[in-house]
Amino acid sequence: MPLLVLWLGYGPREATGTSLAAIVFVAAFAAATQGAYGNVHVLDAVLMGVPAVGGVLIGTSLQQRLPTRTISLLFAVVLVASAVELLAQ
Amino acid sequence: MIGVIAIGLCAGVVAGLLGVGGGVLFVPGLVILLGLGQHQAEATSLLAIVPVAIVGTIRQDRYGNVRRDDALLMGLLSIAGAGAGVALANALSGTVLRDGFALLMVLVAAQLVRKSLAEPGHPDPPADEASLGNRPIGGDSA
Repeated sequence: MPLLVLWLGYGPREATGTSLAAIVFVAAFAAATQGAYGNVHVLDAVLMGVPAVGGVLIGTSLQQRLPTRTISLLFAVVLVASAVELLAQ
Repeated sequence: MIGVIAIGLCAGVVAGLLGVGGGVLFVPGLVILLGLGQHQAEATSLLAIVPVAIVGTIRQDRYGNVRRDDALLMGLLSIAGAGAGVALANALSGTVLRDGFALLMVLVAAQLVRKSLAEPGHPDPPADEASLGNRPIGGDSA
């Protein structure tokens, strides 16, 4: 997405939409390749991906109603804590 | 099973709310809560992202934000890169992959902080129907 903005002069919304579309192909192909290695837990992927769609719709509708700046900072803390927890696995 | 659904829901809400990619929560969620290995978690997350990206694309397309030719070209060209990336990931140990992913999470956190602190302090624009629908989904690192 940043490359679309910086190199091709896309506006941020177009960059988001266009890169999302490209990601469909990238993720699908990478997932299929990983599948050939036997690494994909298909059931888990479906149980995660489908609710995630619902989550995104909820999240975008909340954007205008919540203090996203505060939440962003809090989430940054969560991310770092999760990274540390991941390293401890 | 509830755990997986919860991870998906939370990751989706965060993606929609903050523009942070779902994978950044999918992968540690699968590893920490479900005990998947790093390779399996990353592979499973890749598949889980597909429906999210499809729905996001459809919504963005309705607002005229998708340049289809460019998207198709980028997607097809990146197939080679994706294949190489997957091959590389499988050549690396789970530990190295995990460490790299943890680093990625910290970088995303740093970017979040930078973006939040850079925003001016004025209140959000009033919520009208057009702007509510036309927000980026998935963000930079989906």
